[in-house]
Amino acid sequence: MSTAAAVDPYDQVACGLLRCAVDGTVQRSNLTLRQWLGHPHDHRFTSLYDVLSPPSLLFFEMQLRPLLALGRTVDGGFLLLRHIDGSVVPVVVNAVQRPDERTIEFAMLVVREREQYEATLRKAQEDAEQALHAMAASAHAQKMQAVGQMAAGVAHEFNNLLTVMRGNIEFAAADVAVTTPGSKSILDDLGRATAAADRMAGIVRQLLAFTGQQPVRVSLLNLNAVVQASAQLVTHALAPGTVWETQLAGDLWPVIAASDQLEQLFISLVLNARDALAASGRVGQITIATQNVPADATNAMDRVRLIVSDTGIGMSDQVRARAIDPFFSTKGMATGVGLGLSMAYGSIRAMNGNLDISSTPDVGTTVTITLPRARD
Amino acid sequence: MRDDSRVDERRVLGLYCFDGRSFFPRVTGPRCKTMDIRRRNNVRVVGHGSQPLLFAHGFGCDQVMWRRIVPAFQDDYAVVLFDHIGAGKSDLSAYSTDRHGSLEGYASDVLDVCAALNLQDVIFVGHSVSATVGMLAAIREPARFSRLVLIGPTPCYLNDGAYRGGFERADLLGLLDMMEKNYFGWAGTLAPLIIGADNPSEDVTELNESFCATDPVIARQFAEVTFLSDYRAVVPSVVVPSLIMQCARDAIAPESVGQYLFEHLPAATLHLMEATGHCPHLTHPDETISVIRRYLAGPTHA
Repeated sequence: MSTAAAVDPYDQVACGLLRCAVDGTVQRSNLTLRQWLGHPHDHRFTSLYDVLSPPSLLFFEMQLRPLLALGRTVDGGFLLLRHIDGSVVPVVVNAVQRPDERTIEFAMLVVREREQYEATLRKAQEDAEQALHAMAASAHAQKMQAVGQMAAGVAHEFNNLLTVMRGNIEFAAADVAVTTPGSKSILDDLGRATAAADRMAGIVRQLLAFTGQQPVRVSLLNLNAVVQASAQLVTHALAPGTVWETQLAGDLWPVIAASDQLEQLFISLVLNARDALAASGRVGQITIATQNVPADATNAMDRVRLIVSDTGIGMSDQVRARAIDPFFSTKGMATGVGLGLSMAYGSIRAMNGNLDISSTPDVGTTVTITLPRARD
Repeated sequence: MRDDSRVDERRVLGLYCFDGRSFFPRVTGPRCKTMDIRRRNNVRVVGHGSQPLLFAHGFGCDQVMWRRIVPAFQDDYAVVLFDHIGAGKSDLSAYSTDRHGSLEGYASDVLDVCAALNLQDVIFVGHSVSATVGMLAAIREPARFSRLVLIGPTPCYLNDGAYRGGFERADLLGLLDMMEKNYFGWAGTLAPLIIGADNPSEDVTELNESFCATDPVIARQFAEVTFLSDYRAVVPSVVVPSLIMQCARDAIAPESVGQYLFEHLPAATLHLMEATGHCPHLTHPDETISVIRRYLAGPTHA
């Protein structure tokens, strides 16, 4: 007969077991757990402090203990145990508090490999998300390019035909003056035709600006000057009661840009803000700010920002996603042709800048234009 | 630590920004003022007394954690319970990375609740991080509060020279990592960590209503704000009389911290409890109730 002590199944199971009092005093642990943590077979843990790594102890006390005390079980919690050599052993834990005995029972499984697997999965997921972001950005750029090419083609055709139309209207007006002098109504009709042709020429110019194919005269300029030059003009167009606030940086860096384009762009942004305030039905505020943005880890260039924000009706995600698409407008055809923001986008891109739109429905919209700082 | 704040913010706030090349999430603050504060913080008022007893839960739980001691105060006080933004049944859309990027934002929420309910002569009971929130609120509006009851308070979790907050920076960063692993699960998706069975001996009706629910993204940011902050400098400005309830063998708030607060709070009483751990109101409700009762019945400070 063997005289060896009977093997206690509690010590032999393939998971770590531990029981502690609710105050953290360890009452019992099994051999498997002691072996995982590098302790001698007869080691006795005194408290959970000896078993859990400091962050795990924090997490346990902060998050798991209240739940156990309220009578819930912990299923599949993740904790790190202290190995005697100073390393940690990752485990998944189930725990329950016995209400009558005021003890907590733990069962643990080592998940070292699982943790590596998890890290791989997370990395793969992050890569996939990045790739998706890149695809979405590239699809958008392609779409803009295609629309731009089409718009450029249409614009050139229109320009040619417009030249013919306007020439012939002029001839007709001259002919009428000779053949039927005093015929005011025909001349009036021709005048209206000329006005329509002029308006059309304006749209063609906007289209060309959007495609970036219009010749641009750039110069060294200060965005504060752009704001100040246009402010008087646009503030007259605001509804009574609108709060107009400017926060212009004192020592703003210069940029290289086309001043007439920037002024036109600024005006159209402010008018958009005005319309957003009107649509909200509230008296609101338009804030104009300029800022220097020094180079940082994510962007090697010094940049300058112009921010136009309003407390108007805001945009839904769907609307904002399409906000800079050409001919997209929420205002109806009577008010705008939907070229304002797309034109702004085109001209800013042509200046190597960026245009951000952030918006919250019923809270407001912020348009941020970022241009590279001009090198002296 | 995983840098997935981009994904998380999007899930919480649903806002995007277009930078000319791609869309990325952007966080902007909501207009808290226009919201109904009661709904925003899931405020509940129970009890028959007139003096308000305002309970502020700590990190990782919600107002449910007060359930074992609230009944003892219902007859004598107007007990006010609420959830911090991100916890319980609070309005998650009211979360703002700006406002809630420091404990001052949570203190503003508490003062909003006081103002919305027109609470005066408030006894504030705050657990753990909410003890600091209560101190900040009492500094801003001292006249609003009559006493502060601070359960397991810590103005700074980090060890700093002679000050023993209890933790090294690496421990606290490890905690954030631990939370991430527990909240976001194996593959970075939300995992049902703690959905155990109800204990049959517990009265679970209330538990089922709301069970220490915490939005994981907000909890992760709340943890960062909570554990990496240092509010020792403001402690001497708390003129409202306060009770420090210091547990024995508290892994989160060691006795050295209770002692520190006792020395630096201008009008403090320190009570060393027999209760062990960090949540005496859950684990030792009877002692917790009697200590609070005795303090409220006695002079403001010894």
